[in-house]
Amino acid sequence: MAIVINGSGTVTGLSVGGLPDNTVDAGTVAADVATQAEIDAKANLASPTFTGTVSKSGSSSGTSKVFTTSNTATENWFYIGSSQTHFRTQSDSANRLTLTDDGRGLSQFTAKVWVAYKGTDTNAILDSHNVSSVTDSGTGTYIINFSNSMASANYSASLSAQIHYSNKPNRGITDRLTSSVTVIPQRGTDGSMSDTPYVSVLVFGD
Amino acid sequence: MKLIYDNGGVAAVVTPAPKFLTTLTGTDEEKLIHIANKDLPTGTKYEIIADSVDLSDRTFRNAWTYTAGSDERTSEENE
Repeated sequence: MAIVINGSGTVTGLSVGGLPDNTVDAGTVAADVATQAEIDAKANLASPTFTGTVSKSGSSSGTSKVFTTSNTATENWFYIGSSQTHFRTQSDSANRLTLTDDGRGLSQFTAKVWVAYKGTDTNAILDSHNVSSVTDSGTGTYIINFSNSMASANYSASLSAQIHYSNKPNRGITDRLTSSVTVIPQRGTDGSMSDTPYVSVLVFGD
Repeated sequence: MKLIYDNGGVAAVVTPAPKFLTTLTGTDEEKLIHIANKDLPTGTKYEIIADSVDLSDRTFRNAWTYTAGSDERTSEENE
């Protein structure tokens, strides 16, 4: 027999734990109550996994923020997988920035290669990026070998070096390949070359 | 360790980049072989030399010549 409560009074006989199983069905709950399937379909707050595209709707003007954080940690990480991930505007492939999982930032506006090299004594590579080795191929001639080749040999290579011999003020690039660039940091007007203690090479391009 | 090979009658010396070496696996010798296959023209005869070999006196650098030794290798096509 149904119980009708109409007005004030006291209901006794209900135990803690709610109603018995199967006494509430879809027809007896409010229309806006989420089902278990709907709840399961929502992203977990702690470690959500998105399988589709994360979008930010809103005005075409102003600031669009897809992800923000109030975290004051010194480092906030954005992990990417083993393959390359592109950051770019939807149609602007020429100005995209690609971050690779081996630590390179590829774009038209980031250096593809740089190296600081000691051309005397031990011929040490002081520091470098995307450089596999440096070949000392004779007095004052060094080949910078790239870890990852350039897509085109039409890149811009800048060479700077410590002036070790004032009578050899010329410097230049002799061979520009996709896999390496050969530099001469100290060359005299008579064609002779000399070693120099500090050589700096910087490469931008495709 | 370094690599040495003949470059048109003058010995060339290849110094590996320390940062690049950290990306490679295997023994030091295997790492140098990888660099040789990558940075030397395929088919180049070369040797691996220890860091203890003193190359600091460069007075007659262009007179250095490469002479094949018992540990000579040949660079292969880089995979």
